[in-house]
This record gives sequence, structure tokens and C-alpha cells, in this order.
Amino acid sequence: MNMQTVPTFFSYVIDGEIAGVNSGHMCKDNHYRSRGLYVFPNFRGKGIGTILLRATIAQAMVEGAVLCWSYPRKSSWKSYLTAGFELATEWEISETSDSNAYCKIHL
Amino acid sequence: MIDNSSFFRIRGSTLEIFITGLSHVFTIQLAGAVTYDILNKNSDRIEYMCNEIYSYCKQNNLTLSDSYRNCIPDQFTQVIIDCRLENFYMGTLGRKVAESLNLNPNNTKILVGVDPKDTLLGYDYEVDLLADVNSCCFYENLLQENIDWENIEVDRPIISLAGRPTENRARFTKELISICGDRARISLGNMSHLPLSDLQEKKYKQLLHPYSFPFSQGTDNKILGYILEQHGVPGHQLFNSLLHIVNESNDFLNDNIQLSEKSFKVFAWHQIPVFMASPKQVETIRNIGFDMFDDIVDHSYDSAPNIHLHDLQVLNIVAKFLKAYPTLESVNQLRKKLYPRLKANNDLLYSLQTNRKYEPWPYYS
Repeated sequence: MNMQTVPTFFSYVIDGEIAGVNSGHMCKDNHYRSRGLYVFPNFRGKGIGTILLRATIAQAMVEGAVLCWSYPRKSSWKSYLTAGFELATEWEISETSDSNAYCKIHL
Repeated sequence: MIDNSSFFRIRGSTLEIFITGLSHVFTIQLAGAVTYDILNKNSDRIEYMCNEIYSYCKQNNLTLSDSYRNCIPDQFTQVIIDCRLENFYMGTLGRKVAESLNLNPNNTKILVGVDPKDTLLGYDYEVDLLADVNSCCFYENLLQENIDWENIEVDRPIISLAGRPTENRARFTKELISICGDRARISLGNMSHLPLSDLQEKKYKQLLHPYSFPFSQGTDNKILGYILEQHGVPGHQLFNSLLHIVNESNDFLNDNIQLSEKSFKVFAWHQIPVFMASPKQVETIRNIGFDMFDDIVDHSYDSAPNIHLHDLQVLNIVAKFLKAYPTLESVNQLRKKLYPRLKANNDLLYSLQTNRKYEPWPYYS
């Protein structure tokens, strides 16, 4: 299913330099996944993560999603929380981090 | 050119001074001749206003003193410093004028359009939230057009007009364009009287990319450009939308609720309001008595925890509206059904405009 939808890639550029990126794509049941949020260390603490998530959620709306979800690390949770996400599971150890959780925002 | 003497009124033993008008004349006279740094220097502005007040008093033989301190004679038991029809800062300017003129706070009343919070402590003040109900006669001029509101045909369901660009407005507008496509009339940054620096222009172009900046889609040029024309009756196509996103002067980061003319135009134009404005703006307008169409629009963004969530909630309203009413026919059917309520809001506006507490000032109304 994921391969049948067109992903969207987001970048936040400051003076020609990429400060952060994210991507998103539609999954089944009109659920939209936000994936790969990353802000370069020297640009952190400026709200760029939240702005990238916000753009991703807006894209989910454009594509008619009823929900947007992600699986962030705990260290980036503040950006997700500010963008309106709520936790859907407990924090758990994953293959990429020792503290990830599913989160979602209903649209 | 506006004659400054029209900003003064004497009623019995009360002298009324329209500070907002004097401040605007200062801006108009100096705009173009000086940099905005000087325009923003309050000391020059206050001195100009005090000199104008002193001149008025002298010309009308009201002066006691050779300086503008104590220039207002004791025959006036009250001086009204009218700072309405402007944003939060005007109340503070009014107080500084009163202090410079050495007015007795016990005999001075300051009128403001925005809650001054604790900036007017020691002065008698009154907040007139309805000051802009007919700002620059926009409503009277609209009434003279005798528009057949009942039979308006919606051709683009959404409308969002924003003259002055800001980063937040640019971000929101870009997202709005993405969601609405050509189903909205949208503008941003078409203000020729407020030229942007090259740096600002570049910033907004980047923020709005891949869309153009300034942006205009489905609007007209009547509302754009010269500042004195911005409150004239716009091209009637602006009325052919139903869901109106009002980009108020103060955004969600600014908690000074201001009901500028933009908050009233949405009702004059017989449209459903959504407010990109200060927290509790919707609550304030609802408390005046306007129908906010809560059955159509979820206004919970009014108390959102932050601006990102606020803006996303507004975008979600738009997305859901377009989903619920996917065709022009369905939007027009909705408008027809809601028309009695749209009319009731306009009737309330008419009543507020005709039963003003304070006599309007020339030009400003």
C-alpha cells in the first residue's frame, strides 16, 4: 500500500542551507505517516522540527487523511507535542532507539 | 489632506481630542520623507501631537500658558483622550500625551479600542470594542451599494485576505493554497504603501515558494495598494465566497484582542467567520451576540495551546469544509439554508453601527 502512494519530502532551508527535513506518505485507511524528521544539531532549539511537522500535517490534509501518525524518539517528542500529536502507546525500545512511541493527530 | 482641527471637539465643559487621528497625520506627513526608525520613535510623535493640541488651544483662545504644559484651561472639567480605532500601543501613546500636557488624571478620560491591561493605571479609561464597527465608513459605503445579498452565487467557497505579510501569515497562506487549490480567493502581501526591504521580500518569497509573492488569486485590485483606499467598497467578487478566514491585525501570538474593521466586514459581507487572531477573539465576538455558526465550524482553535496547533486547526476546518461541501452546488445550497442567520448577523452589525455610544470622528467614523 505504501508503495502505491506518492511521498512528499519537506526541507527547511536557511540561507541556502538545509536545516532540517521530514517526509510523509499516505497509508491505508486514509492514515498519513510522518517519517524521518531530522534537524541538524546547529539548528536545533528554533522550532524547526515543529514547523516541518506542521507542513507534513497540512500535506496530510491536502491528501484527505483522517489521521496523521508517527513513531518518534522521545528526544524529539517536544516538537511533536507542540504540533498537536498525542501519544498512542507507551515508550518502548525499538530497533533504532531505546525510547520510541507511536503518536497521532486526528484530522 | 486631513484638517487636524477636525480631531478636536468641545462639548460644554468637555474637550475631546482624537489622538489616533493626530498620530496618523504624523505618520502620513512623514512617510516617505523619513525612515521608519523615525516613525517608530514615540518621542517625536508625542511632541507632534502635543504641539498640535497646543496650537488648537491657542487658536481658539483656550490657552493659559505659553508652553503646551498646562495649555488646557480649567474651564474644561474633563478632557477625553480618544485613542480608539487603533491597536494596543495607542492607549500608551495617549497616556504619554496626557502626561506631557500635565493633565490632571482625575479630569482625564482615555478611550481605547483594546484592553490597555495595566498601562493606564491611575487614569479613568473605557474600552470600546465596537470602535471599528464602521471604520472609515466601510459599512455605510457598503450599504449604499444596495447589494442583493440573498442571491449571491458562491464561486470560490473560501476567502482569506492578508495585506501586511508576516512569517506566520506566509506559512499559513502557503498551506491554505495547498489545501484549497483554486477553490479559494487568497491574497498576501499586496500592500504597495508599505514597501518591503529586499531582505524581507526574499524571505517571503522563500516562505511562499513554490507560489508567488506577493500572492493574489481570485481577488481584485480594489482592496490592494494605497492605504486610503483599503476601506472602500471592494470588487463584488469578494462576496462570492462563504467561509471567510479573517486575518486580524493581531495574530495568535498577540493576546491583545482587537476588533478591527476586519472582524466586522465578515458579517457585513454575509459570510461565515473563522478568525486568525488573538486567543479568545471568537469568544469576544460571540459575546457581542454574533452567530459564529458553531454547527458548521469548530472554533476550538480559539483556545489552542500554541500558534502551530491554532493554525493547523483552522486549516483543518477548511479541509473539512471543502470535503463536506465538495461542489459549488452544495456550497450554494448551504448558503441558502444559512442565509437567515447570515442576515441576522448583518442586522446586528447594522444595529451596532446605528447605536454608537460615541459620536464618530470625520473620515474615521
